[in-house]
Amino acid sequence: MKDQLITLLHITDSGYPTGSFAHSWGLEYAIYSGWVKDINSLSDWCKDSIQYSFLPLEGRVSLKAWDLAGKNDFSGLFNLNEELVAFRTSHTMRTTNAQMGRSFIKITNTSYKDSRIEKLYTLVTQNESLYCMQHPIAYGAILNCLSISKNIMLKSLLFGILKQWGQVAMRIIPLGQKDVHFFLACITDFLNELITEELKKYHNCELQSVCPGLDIAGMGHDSLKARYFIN
Amino acid sequence: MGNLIRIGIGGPVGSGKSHLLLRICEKLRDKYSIIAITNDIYTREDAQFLTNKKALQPGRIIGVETGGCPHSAIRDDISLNLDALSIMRKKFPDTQLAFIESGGDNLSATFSPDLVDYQIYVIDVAQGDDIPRKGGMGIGRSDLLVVNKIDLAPYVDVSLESIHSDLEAVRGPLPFVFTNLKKSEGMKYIINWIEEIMANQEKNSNPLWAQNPTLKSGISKDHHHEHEHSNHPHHHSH
Repeated sequence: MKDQLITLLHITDSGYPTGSFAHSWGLEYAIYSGWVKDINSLSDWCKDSIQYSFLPLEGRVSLKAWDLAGKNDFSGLFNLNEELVAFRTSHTMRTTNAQMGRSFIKITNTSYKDSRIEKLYTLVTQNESLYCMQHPIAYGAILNCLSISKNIMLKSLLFGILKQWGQVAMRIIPLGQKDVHFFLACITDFLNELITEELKKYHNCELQSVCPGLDIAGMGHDSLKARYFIN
Repeated sequence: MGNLIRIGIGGPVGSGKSHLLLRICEKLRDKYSIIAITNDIYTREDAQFLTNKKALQPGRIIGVETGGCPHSAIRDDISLNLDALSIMRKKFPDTQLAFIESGGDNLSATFSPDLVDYQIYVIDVAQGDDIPRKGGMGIGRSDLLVVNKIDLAPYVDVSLESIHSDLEAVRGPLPFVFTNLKKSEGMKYIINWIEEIMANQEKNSNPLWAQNPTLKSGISKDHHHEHEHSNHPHHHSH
């Protein structure tokens, strides 16, 4: 049995090669549109995006994937992938998120010996779709295989997105490191409350994304002439 | 799928990476099945440049946007490029040569051995004749160093002789070539270098840079100028 903390630190490090460093998760467009321009508007935008889109969509789907992987239900993972893809509002979002998912599975399969990860890698490699496999599904499933609890899995997934938003904000707004890291340190309670609630209800909930601003940002990003991040 | 040789082309912004790739494609596209992956920080400008210039058939060029960290995309986190390579190889399973052009970056950028088999590093004389002395992985360890835009040397007060002797000291046995890619000057050497790789196919498991004695002392004799020596204010000791 691997040390779970070390494993978690390893696979959630920003240097873990999944291509996530190139993503802005919609924030770049939000900055260029003037919606996000300082630490306060960044904080509001992040909290709304997490609460109304990333948690009920990316987060929820990762929890369902974690459960499916626990039951060795691989076809369930692929069905879940199709459902999530239907929520993506642009081709770029579908393909780039799948790229991250595939890379995550591939490098983890290389790094950690696990028969379920190996099987998932084989199935994903055989799949012809450019949209397979979306990152949160890969993330939820793999972390189950690595014996990381679903609470920690979800927390690390969402905090990873927040960390990347911080990096984007420092480069594009730009914000200073003090503001960004103070914001990240203070978001723990907010995140914990949301996650506790989500864990109680996700079994009975459909996937949701009720944050049109984020969808607009995702679509609008494709129209930017020059950009620093993928979406 | 057959054997594939992957060659990375790196170097600072504006040094002539895309131009070099264009010239290579023009010379080799009828002989080998080639694909090109370009990395851009902001846009897919380089892929567009090669497509517009008809460097390769449509579909054989793909652009990867690397975000703000072009060095990460070729070194620490190569997943974006590996994914692009995998997609292109499925599309063109007969591919023999894959070129991966990095986004323009600083002198410390280098390619991961998981991504490329060989790397070419491109600098240009307009960056100053102290560039070789500043070192960096690309200048010191690339399998082939291209010093481009030699036609500009007189206009930017750069001594090719000085660059030449500095590179001999820095690179030891590793080859370098002076080029003016606009006029294809120096291309013959580069094409021969690639042809030699294609003929041998097997990557030396002990890279040349690891045998580089000049990281201690040495002098290189394996470098090349296609131009007439009398046209330029430098000389050769070999």
